[in-house]
Amino acid sequence: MLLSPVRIIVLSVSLLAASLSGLVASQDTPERVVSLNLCTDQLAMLLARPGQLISVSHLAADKTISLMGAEANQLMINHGLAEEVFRMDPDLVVAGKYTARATVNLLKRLGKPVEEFDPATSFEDISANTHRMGALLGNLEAAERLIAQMRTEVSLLSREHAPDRPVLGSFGTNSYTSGAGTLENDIVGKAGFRHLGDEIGIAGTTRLPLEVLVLANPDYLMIWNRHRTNPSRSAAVLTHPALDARFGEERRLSADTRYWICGTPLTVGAIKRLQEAVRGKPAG
Amino acid sequence: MELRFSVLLGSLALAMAVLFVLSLGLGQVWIPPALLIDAWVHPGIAEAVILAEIRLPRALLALFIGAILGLSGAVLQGFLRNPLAEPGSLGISASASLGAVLAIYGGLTAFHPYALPLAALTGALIAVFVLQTLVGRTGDILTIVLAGVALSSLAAALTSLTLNLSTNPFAAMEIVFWMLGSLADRSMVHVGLALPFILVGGGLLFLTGRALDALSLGADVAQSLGVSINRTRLLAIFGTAIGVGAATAVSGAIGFVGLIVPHLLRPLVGQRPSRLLPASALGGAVFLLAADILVRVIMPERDLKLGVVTAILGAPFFLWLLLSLRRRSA
Repeated sequence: MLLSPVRIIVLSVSLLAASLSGLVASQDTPERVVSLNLCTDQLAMLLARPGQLISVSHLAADKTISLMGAEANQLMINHGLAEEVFRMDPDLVVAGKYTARATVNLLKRLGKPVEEFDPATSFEDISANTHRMGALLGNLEAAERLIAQMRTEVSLLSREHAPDRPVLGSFGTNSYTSGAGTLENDIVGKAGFRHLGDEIGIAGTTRLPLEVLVLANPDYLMIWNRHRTNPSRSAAVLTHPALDARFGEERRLSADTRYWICGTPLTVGAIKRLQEAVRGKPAG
Repeated sequence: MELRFSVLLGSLALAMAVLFVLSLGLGQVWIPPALLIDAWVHPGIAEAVILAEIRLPRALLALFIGAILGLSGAVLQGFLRNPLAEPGSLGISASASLGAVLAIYGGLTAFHPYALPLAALTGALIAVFVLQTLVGRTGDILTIVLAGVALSSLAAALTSLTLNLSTNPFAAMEIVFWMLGSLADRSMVHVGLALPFILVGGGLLFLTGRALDALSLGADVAQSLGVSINRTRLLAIFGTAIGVGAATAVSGAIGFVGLIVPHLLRPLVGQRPSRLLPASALGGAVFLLAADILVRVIMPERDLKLGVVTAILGAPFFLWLLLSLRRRSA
């Protein structure tokens, strides 16, 4: 991938900023870190030194959406509430940019240092977030190691430029799908598919009416496995007879939500699993 | 008068048929009509699947759910002799939603699909009995409306609580559907779940017609004419609970249909409640089919909720009704 000059400048500035904060951090490494967001939870658990991370969100302990449920259960669990977080007396709070806004604002007003992370929408973002978390926790070395390892694995697996790539679309509860500018888009592209969202001009995550999906007719339909075990009204659309009529087992893929929901170095697993799932299908 | 009534029913039926066909023809994607007609003979193609599995169930549900909501509104207004009575404002729909949510998230639907409509109509039944107990024989307008407000809020709160307690972290987002209703991407499975109950409930409600005529002359006169108030009450209660309960189980709570439709049609059918019943059933179907076409045409990508449209049309009407009631009693 060619980086535009602007992108390079933005990246290097952010890397510079990250390494500067890393320098500061190394002199004064936080000892009581609390994370409020499933994605920062997992990044922090990957990079924190023993005892440094004291609490993660309750979502991190939910094994249906978190890859590190066992590790999370070793720590205190928070529910993103200002009181409970404040009483843990953290010297660093890491949060997502869009989660628990009221809590984050309150903690800032109370003088707690809060670092907010943008959700990763590409493997480049994952590298940047991982680097930043490593710098904040004073563990840049481990971060660099994870990033290098991830980059190697991604480039080994990548079939981004393969000819005749089939079209793959995702379909979730309440008929939601993703398109350009999402992490899903990057994963699907690297795994060797064209993304349905790109094909029909969808950006971000949005509703895809069942009628549109049936007409668009992607080669593969990817459905999150989490919904099989959790009954809900919004998942009813995933068992709609129209899907069965148009997308037989040979074109249906079941994806493990935990690898897709957050961008972390573990996200490489999503590419690997997607490619394995397709290899199991007759058309693959 | 006879002729006028037949013309009214005929034109409502015609409007319903036209809207039903429109509902099949319009959707989130534009399919040329010729291709849709072609789809009937080629069942395998994508257009045929869209028509038979996506649009047909949606149109059928809009038709029958609209009909049962309009019909039950007419019966409740006639029986309670209260112009503000309808399943939504009395909290019956909200209680049915609660029943449905308990069945889905309590795992009952995993045992048998019919647990869903049965739980919803149980919720509706409880709401109607509570209303009856609270209101008693007086039929005081204020008591009924306040009881309805209390029941709606309680049912909404318990629905929200159930969704919050669910092990599914995303369940709480579904509260909007259960409060405002939608027919988006429902299937023939849902038609099969709801339709038998709607037909039974509708049948029970239609049986109240003659008694409602007599009741419009006053309870004493009705009894002297040999009308059993108790029988009528049971028919109204069970008809509403079974029909509206099952409808709500698949569509969520859709308000105001049962309120507006009988009021709009009452001047056209004269003051005979029994005539209002078929007219309201047809009118309810017309109203909901039109509302469901609107939500798809205005914002096809946004999943606008049906209750949003019915409330935007219905709430001002409700306020106007309150004002004119006050003027009449002043």
